[in-house]
Amino acid sequence: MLTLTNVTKVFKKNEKNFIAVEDLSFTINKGEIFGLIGTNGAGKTTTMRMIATTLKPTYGTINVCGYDSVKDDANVRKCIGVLYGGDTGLYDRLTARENIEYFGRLNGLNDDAINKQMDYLSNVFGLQDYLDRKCGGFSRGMKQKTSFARAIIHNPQVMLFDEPTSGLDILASEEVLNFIKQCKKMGKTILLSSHNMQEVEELCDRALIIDHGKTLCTGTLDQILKQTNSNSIKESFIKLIKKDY
Amino acid sequence: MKNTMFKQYSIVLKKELKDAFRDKKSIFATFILPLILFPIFFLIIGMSGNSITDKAINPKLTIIKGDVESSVSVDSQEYKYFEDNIFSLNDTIKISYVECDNFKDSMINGDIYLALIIDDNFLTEIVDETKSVNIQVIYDDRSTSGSTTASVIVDLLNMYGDKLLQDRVEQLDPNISMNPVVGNSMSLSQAYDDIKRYGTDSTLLHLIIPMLLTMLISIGGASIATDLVAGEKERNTFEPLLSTGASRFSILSAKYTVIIIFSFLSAIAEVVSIVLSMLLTKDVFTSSAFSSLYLPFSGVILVILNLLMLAALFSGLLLILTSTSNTLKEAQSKSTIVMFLPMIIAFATMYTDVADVSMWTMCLPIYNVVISIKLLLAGVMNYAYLWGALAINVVYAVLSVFITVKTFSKESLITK
Repeated sequence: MLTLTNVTKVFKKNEKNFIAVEDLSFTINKGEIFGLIGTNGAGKTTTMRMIATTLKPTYGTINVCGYDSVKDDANVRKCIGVLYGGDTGLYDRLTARENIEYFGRLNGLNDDAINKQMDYLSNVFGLQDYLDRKCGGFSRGMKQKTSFARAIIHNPQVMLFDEPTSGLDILASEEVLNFIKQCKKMGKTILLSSHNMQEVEELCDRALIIDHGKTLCTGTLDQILKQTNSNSIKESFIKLIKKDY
Repeated sequence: MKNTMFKQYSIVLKKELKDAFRDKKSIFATFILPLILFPIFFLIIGMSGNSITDKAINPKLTIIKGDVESSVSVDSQEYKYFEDNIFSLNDTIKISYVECDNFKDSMINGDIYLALIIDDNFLTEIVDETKSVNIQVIYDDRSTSGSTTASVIVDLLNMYGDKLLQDRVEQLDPNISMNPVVGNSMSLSQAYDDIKRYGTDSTLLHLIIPMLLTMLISIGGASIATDLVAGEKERNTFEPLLSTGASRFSILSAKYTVIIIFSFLSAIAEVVSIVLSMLLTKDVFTSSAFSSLYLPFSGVILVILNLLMLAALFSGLLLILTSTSNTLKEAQSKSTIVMFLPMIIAFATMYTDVADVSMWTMCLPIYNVVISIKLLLAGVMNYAYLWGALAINVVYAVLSVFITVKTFSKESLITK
């Protein structure tokens, strides 16, 4: 469903080359949650951006739902839903409904489909009372839930989540994690980038640990634990990163 | 494919307009400010003009005898002479005579606008045909009304001098012509009925309309432009937007259109503002300001197209600047630099005479739009110039669009 083959991304800064991602390869199957784990600046966001077609790989190919990310970028974007990390971006002067609707329409949904998905997602994230309020006054948690709903309004086959529970309280995080599990049951292909190892252990089938753009380790969680002779993913991660440094 | 692109374009355009019209700061800067600026501006000009005129026709003055250093106020006999013979020459002027111990202090304190200094023997010398009477009019050089009032009084004194001379000459020989040479000026259309000259006779409109229209068309959309990309980047909404099914071209075109719409609305607000000013402040604009204005349809269309191309050029420039900025503040700083360009050119060309225009100067951006509007207002429909300006402005606009599209497709658009 999502395949990266020998993907490398080189940025030019002041006439010097900076390799953000080097020879990265992995495949995520339908109904699988794949964790992308790394420190800040490891290359996770660049990888996400390449899959989302906002950046082009310098070398290698990315295939999403059978479409090439460079040649068929428009079709790739139609079958993915992206939730970017950091401060959740919403249009403050628009209501939650208008924010979600906007992305639904841009992803080709008609009124009926938007209304159906809006009902479903507002139930899942408890947004019913907030739908017609302007987002400028929302709490961080409510903004994150609205962003989540906006990212997947078009019911995409492939979902890219960058720190999806960042800034959420325990209850809101639990709602989001349950929703991601539900998406997996529905056969969605999910790439999850996270710093939260507990979250990775709870959700991911397989994972890849990346540092300085290079793959340090990949496989099922058990395989990673065995390879690093660790008891937890957090321990594996620290061992691999320290060794790398 | 084209249908989808247009649909995406409409969705982004609709959203951007909705978002922009909910932004009170942008609405104020783009419409409200240009709308209220001129009525307030001309109201103040009118009020201060009225105040100066009022002071000029109701001057507060003192008349003193002697020289500037050792002056004393005149007695009632001398003042009466002035009132009966000189001030009475103009009925509209109402003099307020103020007696003061020290006229310099009184003038500095604003109690009087001017002082008339006469010789000690004024009353005897004024009737002596062999003498020339010198009357010194002193006014406060810090006061605008002082110089205006002084010129009114000097005119009256000269009128009285002419009258005295006329009386004396007539006594000598009544057949002598008092006006051996008379000069009168008339415009061509005033002199000859068969010649029609179109265009407004209001110098104020000639100067301000081309300047302000050009300026607002160029930079009227700046406030909204900075928000459209840099604002989205700052709020982290830009990357999610680029990750939707919409193509970058659709997103760019919609944002481009919004800037052009805001530029035009800003310019329209300014025109409405000027009309409102004319209705509210009749003292500043003459009633004939628009009566002789002849606006041929083809000329108006050419000027609008030139304005549209200028809007396209600057919308592109503003989009490039906002696209290469990561924060609103950075975009605003960059836009400010660009905003100076049309302002400087528009101000510099305020007094350009349409008779001095040549074909090569019509190739200069911004300048050629100012001149196009001036040609229309002056009723000089030089279509070669208007078409020439349009042709070169299309080239500038296309170049601007091309560079904007290139900038918008760069990866650096999202990487900081």
